Amino acid sequence: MKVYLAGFLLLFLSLPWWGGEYLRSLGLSVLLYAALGAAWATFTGPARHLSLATSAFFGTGVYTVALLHEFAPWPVLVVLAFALAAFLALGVGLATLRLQGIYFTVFTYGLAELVRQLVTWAQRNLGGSVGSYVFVEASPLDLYYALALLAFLTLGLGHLFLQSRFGLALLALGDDETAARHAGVRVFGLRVVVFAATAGIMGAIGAVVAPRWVYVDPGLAFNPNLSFLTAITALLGGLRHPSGAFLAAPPLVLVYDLLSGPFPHHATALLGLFFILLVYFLPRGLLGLFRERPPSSTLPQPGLEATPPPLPQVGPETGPLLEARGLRKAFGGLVAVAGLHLEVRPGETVGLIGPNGSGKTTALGLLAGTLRPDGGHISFLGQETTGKPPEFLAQRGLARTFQQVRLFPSLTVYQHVYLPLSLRRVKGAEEATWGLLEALGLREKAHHHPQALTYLDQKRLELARALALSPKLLLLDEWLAGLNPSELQEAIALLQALKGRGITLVVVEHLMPAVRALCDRVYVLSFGEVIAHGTPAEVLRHPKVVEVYLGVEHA
Amino acid sequence: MPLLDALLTGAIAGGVYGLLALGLALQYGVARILNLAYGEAVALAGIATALLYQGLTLSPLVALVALPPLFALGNLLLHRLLFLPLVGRTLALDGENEGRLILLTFGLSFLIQGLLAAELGGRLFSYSYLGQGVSLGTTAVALNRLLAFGVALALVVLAHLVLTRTRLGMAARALSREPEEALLVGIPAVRLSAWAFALGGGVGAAAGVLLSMFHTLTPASGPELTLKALVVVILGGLGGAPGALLGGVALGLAEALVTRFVNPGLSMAAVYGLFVLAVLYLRGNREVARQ
Amino acid sequence: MLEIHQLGVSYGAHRALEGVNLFLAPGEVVAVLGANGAGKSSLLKALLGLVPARGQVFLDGEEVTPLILQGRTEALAARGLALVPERGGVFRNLSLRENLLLGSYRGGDPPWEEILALFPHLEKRMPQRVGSMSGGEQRMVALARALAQRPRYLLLDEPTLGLAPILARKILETLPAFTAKGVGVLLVEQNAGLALGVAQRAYLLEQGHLVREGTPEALLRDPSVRQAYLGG
Repeated sequence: MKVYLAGFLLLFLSLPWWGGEYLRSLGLSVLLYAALGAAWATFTGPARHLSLATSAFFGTGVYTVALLHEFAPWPVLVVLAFALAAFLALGVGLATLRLQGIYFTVFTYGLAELVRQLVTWAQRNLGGSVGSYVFVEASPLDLYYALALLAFLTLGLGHLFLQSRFGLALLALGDDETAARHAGVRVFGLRVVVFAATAGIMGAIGAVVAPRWVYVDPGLAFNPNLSFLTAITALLGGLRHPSGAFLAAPPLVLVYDLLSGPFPHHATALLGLFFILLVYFLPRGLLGLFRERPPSSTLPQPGLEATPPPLPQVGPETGPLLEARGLRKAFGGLVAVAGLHLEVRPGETVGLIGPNGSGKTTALGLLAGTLRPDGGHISFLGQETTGKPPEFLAQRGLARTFQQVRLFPSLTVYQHVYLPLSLRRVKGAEEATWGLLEALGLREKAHHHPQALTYLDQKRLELARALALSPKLLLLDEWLAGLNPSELQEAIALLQALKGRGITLVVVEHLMPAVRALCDRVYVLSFGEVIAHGTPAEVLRHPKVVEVYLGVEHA
Repeated sequence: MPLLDALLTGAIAGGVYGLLALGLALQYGVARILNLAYGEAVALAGIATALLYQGLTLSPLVALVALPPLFALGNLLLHRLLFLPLVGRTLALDGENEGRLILLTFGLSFLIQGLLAAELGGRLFSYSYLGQGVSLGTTAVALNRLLAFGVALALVVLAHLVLTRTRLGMAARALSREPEEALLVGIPAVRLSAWAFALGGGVGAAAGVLLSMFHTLTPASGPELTLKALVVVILGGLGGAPGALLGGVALGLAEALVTRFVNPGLSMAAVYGLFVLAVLYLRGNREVARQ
Repeated sequence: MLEIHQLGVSYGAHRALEGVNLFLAPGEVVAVLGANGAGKSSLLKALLGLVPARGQVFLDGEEVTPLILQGRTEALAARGLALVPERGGVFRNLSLRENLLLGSYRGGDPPWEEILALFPHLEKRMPQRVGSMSGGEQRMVALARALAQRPRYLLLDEPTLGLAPILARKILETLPAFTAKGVGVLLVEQNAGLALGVAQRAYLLEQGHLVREGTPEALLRDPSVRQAYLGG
């Protein structure tokens, strides 16, 4: 891929020197769609939110130049176009990115048409004529190189972004929003900012290309075909990386050019057909045909003196670490948790047990912020945290695992652990990641994706991701379920080691030997209420407990 | 009375928008395919009606009977050949194949639009049929609009009765929200969702025929129609046929008022204004929106 | 007779169920016990083709394995297999009346009188949306819907989950309404005492394998049952 991109760079930078006007115009189109496709893929790829509004942002850029070229120099207008398009995207994002992806897609679907109408209306009412002449002192060569610069800038920035903690966070968010939030990812802000930034780039591209036309009207600037061609370019290339668009743009522009000769009227239809075939038979694009880069050996390997993960400091805190008073939660007519009181003191391990359906998992979800309580109060670290989102709690050291393992298919093992550490700007996040992987026996598998792990390793990875928050409190939802007896011994030993390091644990567990071995105190739930609480030995002798478990009144 | 006029025009167009949305709601709600090529089919039906009337002097009422079954058949084939292989037998949608489905219909919309543009160019299609006014109190409305409204209303009411009173309709509603449960009582979910998709296409075609009686259509009208249908579906929420009708009337009114009192060029802004309101409302009910 | 031979279920590399042999005769209640994650739900889902399975299944002598492998749930339901999933078995967004009507989607009217005789207080709830009912009522609706399906074999996945003992008992007391008509009931339960109280035979599932089979009395005395629930 590197060789290809170097070749691409050479070819297109030198093209104006040896190619004629026709080739230069083709080259310009290639650069245009490569740049737009790369920007599109940088958001839609990891975030999985389909944006169909490319031409709205592009057109905003074109119009910025068309209307203001008399007042400001071209480079300034490019920057302004970036700002305006980003601002437009910000509005769209604020309105829709909190909702399910489908609303976002629908909203962006008509956005170009809306902006086109507004511009037409404004021009008719304010300026009189629809459309504007563009006189910018820029030679075709200036324009070509400005676009080339912008295209490679987009690629570079996209690449850097995807490698950064924010890129990882957006990928994680696209994979599994709930799990990502519990790893400390701020959902909404991240999505909106990345969407606005890529939209800004599309606007800047529009501003750069605007001088290509002498006369601009809304129909030209906000042409919906542009959104379509951008999506095709990015999808043909593959959404894994912005470089996919650079792979796809040359053949696509060439084919489109060849087609529009013999079939001038059918080019759009043929492209539509091609697009359908593409979605059908090559959903991962050209990049999907390449194997993902094998684990590179350049990543830092831990030395023998690998630093252990940063351990939580359990200070001389007074009062409970976590306290719940009168928590309630119902799903429709189903009451899952009915007035739960519970207290967790620093350093202890608390068990939450009870028969299936007694509300343990719901209770855990309420404590972790996964679910919003219908009533009652929660405080964590002495601060009222009722209704606070999971990412807020995660950033403050409340971590959880899930009953059904929830990992990020797009991230490697290493990245799962690196993400929460880097998001909290922990110094030496790399070493800390290697330390945690070492501690959980995952070092050898650092470059694997979770699909390739055994069940036990997946569980370990989920725990590692939780520990990467340096949690003060760790909530484990049946972390031991589904393990075979030998794995179980190993896993219990692991939890005991955590306990030995002073991490406070709340465990929802069905395996009583584990509860006896681990827990200092146990709450027994039945119908969403605590029916008994005390040491494991006390509680398991309690006649009420025996009854709810075995359904018989004597043991 | 310009206000009364605008209100009446809006409400009457709203009835047809309700029908327009009902077709999309069947495709998206029951078959769970967000069909971005929906508007193209609607436009095609309307254009075909105009061509039949102008070329063969075939009454739009004949088109109203003849075109929907044809379009339903076409949509059935599309579902069978194009969408079903992606959806799979359990009709379970994860984020990835949902995205691919939307992209498929996005490509399809360009394919149809491209073909229409290639065959018909940038022509405008409108014809006058039953254009004489009927006086309603102090104001007058063209007969074709009244007819379109009446037929649309009747079809929406019929759909409502089918959805709430027949076992097939109940099965369709069950399928839209809890497909696995539907399978467990023996509802042939795949076949039913294919039928719902086809029926949605037929309803869309009927809306296209009715729309063509009083609205100019072009080969490029598709995306706007899709968007309008989508906005009405979101506005009407999951309230079934009555929701679609109410949403349609809301859209018709907003459009007519903006056209009349602000500027005819801003009808799209009216659509979006309503959309933003709907979205803000949804944000208040986030549990619904996240389902 | 519902006969299951060498049934297995895998999710990726994880084997949830392995080599399960089991039979269920018309009119009998058979309990399947086991800890969480032992594969109880996978067993029931596999029979309806809801999860990837292997093995052989015969329904009154007819081999239905192909339907299971192709995931044709609706065809299996039409052949008389009624599954009430854990917490499910109802259409939450439809009214009670609609739930019952859809129960007998495959033909005829729901047996209204029979249903109301079994759950008399549901009569006034006919227009109510089932999602707004309490947990116990939803279980009753699920059983009523199953009754409307007129099944040959009823598969219940933890029907007493989260119910107070008195309600749980009430739910299980309705099983004779099925068995009296020759319906075989496969009851997956976490509440061993309750389940063994109504079953004629029982199996114990551990780590995806059937490890014990016997009468309720024998199983209740078996230390491995106590192990599964209370950890010995």
